Amino acid sequence: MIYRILRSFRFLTQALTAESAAERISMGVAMGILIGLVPKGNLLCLCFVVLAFVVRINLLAVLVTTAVASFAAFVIEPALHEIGYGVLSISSLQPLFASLYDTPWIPWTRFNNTVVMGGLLIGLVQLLPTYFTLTPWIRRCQPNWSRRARNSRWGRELLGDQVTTSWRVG
Amino acid sequence: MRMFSWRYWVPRGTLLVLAAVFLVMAINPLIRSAIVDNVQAITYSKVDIPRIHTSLRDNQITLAGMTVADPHHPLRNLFEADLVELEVDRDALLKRRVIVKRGRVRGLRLGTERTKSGLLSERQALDYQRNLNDHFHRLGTEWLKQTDDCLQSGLTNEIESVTLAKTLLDPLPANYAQLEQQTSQIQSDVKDLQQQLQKFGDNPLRNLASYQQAIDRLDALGRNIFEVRSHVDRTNEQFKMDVANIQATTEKDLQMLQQLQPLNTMHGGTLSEYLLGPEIAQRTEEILQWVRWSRRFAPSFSGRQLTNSSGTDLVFRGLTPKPPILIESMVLQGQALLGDQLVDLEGAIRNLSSDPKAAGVPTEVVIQTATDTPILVQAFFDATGEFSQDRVIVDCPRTPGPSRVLGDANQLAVSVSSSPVHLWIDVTLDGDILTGEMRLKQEGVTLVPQINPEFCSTDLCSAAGSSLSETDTLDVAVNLSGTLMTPKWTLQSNLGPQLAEGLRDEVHTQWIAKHRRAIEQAHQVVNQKIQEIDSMWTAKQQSILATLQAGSADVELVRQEIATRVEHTHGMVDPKSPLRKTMRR
Repeated sequence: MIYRILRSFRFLTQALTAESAAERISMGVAMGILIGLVPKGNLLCLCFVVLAFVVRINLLAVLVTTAVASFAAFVIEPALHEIGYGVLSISSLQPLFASLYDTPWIPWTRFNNTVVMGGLLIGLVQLLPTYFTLTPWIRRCQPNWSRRARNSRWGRELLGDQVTTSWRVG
Repeated sequence: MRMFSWRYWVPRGTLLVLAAVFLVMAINPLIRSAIVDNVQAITYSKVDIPRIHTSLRDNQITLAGMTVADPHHPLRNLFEADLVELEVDRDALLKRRVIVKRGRVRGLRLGTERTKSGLLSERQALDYQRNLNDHFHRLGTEWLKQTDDCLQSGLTNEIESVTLAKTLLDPLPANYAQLEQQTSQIQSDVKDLQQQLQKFGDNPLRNLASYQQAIDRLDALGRNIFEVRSHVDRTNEQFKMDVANIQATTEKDLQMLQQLQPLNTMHGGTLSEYLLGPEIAQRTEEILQWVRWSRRFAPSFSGRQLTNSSGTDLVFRGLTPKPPILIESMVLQGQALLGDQLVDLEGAIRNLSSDPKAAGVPTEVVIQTATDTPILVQAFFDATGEFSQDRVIVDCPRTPGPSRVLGDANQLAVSVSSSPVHLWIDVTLDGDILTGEMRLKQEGVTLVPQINPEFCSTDLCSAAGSSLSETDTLDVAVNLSGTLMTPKWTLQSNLGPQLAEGLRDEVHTQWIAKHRRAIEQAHQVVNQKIQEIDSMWTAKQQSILATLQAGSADVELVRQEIATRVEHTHGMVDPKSPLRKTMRR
C-alpha cells in the first residue's frame, strides 16, 4: 500500500521533472479545471472524464486539478450560477437551447442547469489560455525542479534512486 | 505534439470497456439503490427490494419481493408486492425523463406484519393521541360524576311542605308559652286583688278610693281574661288553618315531583364523544396520515423553474414543462388484511407524477375489492393548481366489525358485539383546509353498557344494565374541519343519546321513587310534629281555659265581696249601675 502511494507521488515528481511532456501536464491541468468546475452526476462530466482517459494527457495532473477545482467550484457556485443563468436566459439562444433539450441524450448533460452551464463556460474558456500559459512555464521550470528533486533525499526516493541503490537480493 | 497514441488508447480503451461492463453489471444495484433512496425519502420508512432485474432491451424494470414499511407502525408493512413490473418509455428516458407507460403490481398485500422494525429512526410516541385519550377519559369521568351527583343529591330541604311546616309550626310553642304567661299573670293579679281586699277592713268608707281602684282592676282583669280567651280562640283557628295549609302543600310536593327533570346534565353528545371519540380519532388520524403521506408523495413544485440543491434547472421558452417522473398507468393486484381475513383487491393508479404541475393532470387512485367485503377507495390528488386539492372517498358497505369495548372498562363502557359495519368516508382538502364527513353504521349489534361499581353508586350501575336493551344499531356521523395538521371533528351518534336516555329513564324512575320516599318521610315527620303540637296545644289550651275560668270565677267572687262590704247589692257595683256613676261623682 505504501509502495503504491509512493509510486503515485513518484509519477507526479516525474511529471514535474521533465519525465513527462509539459504539454501533457498543462493540458491535464486545464482538463482537470474543466472537470472540476462542472457539477458531477451528468453526462457532460462523464464525457469529459472519458475524454481525459482517451486523450494522451497527464492523468495525475487531471486528478489533482479536478480535486482542487471541485472545491473551488463549490466556493464560487453563486458566481457560476449567475453566469449560467445569464447565458441560458439569452433570448436569441432560446430556440437553440430548446432544440437541444428536445434532442435525445442531450438533457442528460443537464446543460439547462445554471451551475452546469456556468461551470462549462468557465471551464471551456480557461482551457486554451491555461494550456498555452502553463506549457512554456512548465517547460522553463522543469530543469530546476529536476535538479532540486534529484538533490533532495525525498526527491531521490520518489524518483527511485534510493530504491535501486538499497535493493538487495538474498 | 501527437495527442492520440495507440499505446495509450488501447489500455485506456480497455479500461473504459471494463468500466462499461461493470456498469451494466451494476445497473441493477444502482437502480435498486435509487428506488430505495427515493421511496425512503418519501415514506421515512424502510424499503426492501430483494431482487431486481433490468432489461435494457425491453425497457423493463422488474422488482420482486418489494416491501415498504409503514412509517406509523414499525412492525407493519405499508405494502408488500411479489412483483412490480415497470415498462419505461425509452424515448423519454433518453431525454432524461422517466415515464412508466404501463406498470403492474402483482401480489400486492397491504398491512402485512414484519419481524423487524421498519422505522428508519426511533420516534417519540404521538403526544396528540395520548392527549386525546386523556381528554376522552376526563369526559367520561365528569359525565358519570355529574350523573351520580344528580342521583345522590338530596331533596328534603327543597320540599315545600317541610319548609312551610317549619315556618308555621316552629313559632307556636313560644306563642303558647306567651298565652300561658298571660294566664298566669291574670291568675296572679286575681290573688293579689283578693289579698288587698282582705286588708281593706270592714268599713268601706275608710278605703273608698281603694275600693274604687279594686273595682277598676277587676274591670281590667275581666278585659284581660276576655282578650286571652279570644287569643286562644284565634290561635286555635290559626293552628287548624296552618295544618290545612301544610297538608295542601304536601299534595303539591308530590305533584311537583312528577314534573321534575332531575337528569338534564346527562348530555348524550358528551357521552357519544367519550365512548366513540378514541375510535373515531384513530380512524380519522389514519385517513389523514394517508392524505399527508400522499401529499408528500405528490409534492407541488413552483412551476417553470425546478429548483435543485445546486443551481436552477431552467425550462426554455417554447418548451412545455414535463415531469421528470411520470407513471401514466399502473395496475394493482393483491391482497389486503381486513380485520382477520385476507381479501383480494385490484386497482389502478393513473398519472402519478413527481411534478404534478408539469404533468397537468391530477393523480387518481382507485382500489376495490370484489369479495364478500367490498371496499372502494377513490383518491384524487390534484396538485396542478396553486393549491393542492385532494379528495379521498372510502366506501366499505360490509366491513367485518369485530367485537370491541367502547369507552373505559374501568369507568363507563359499552361492549359492542361483532357485526358488519358500513363505513363511508369523504375527505376533501383545499390547500390545507380540511372538510369532510365520515359515517359509520353497524346494524344488528348488541350493545351492553357497563359501569364499574367502584366508580359510582349502585343505583347508576344497575340503571346502566338495561338502558340499551332496545338499541340494535350503532350510527356515527363525524364532520371534519380544521386543517390537515390540526384537524377538528364533531361527532354525532345515537349511542350517547340513547344510552343517556336509557339511563335517564331508569335513573329518573329510581330518582322519583327515592325522592317520593324522602317526601313521605318528611311528611311523616311533619305530621308527627303537627300531632305533637296539637297535643301540646290541646293540653295547654285546656290548662289556659281552666285557669281563665278559675280567674273569671275569682273575679266574680271578688266583685261580690266588694259589693257585700259596701252593703250594696251586686247591682250597685255593676259597671252599668247608675249608683256606681253616682259614687264616682
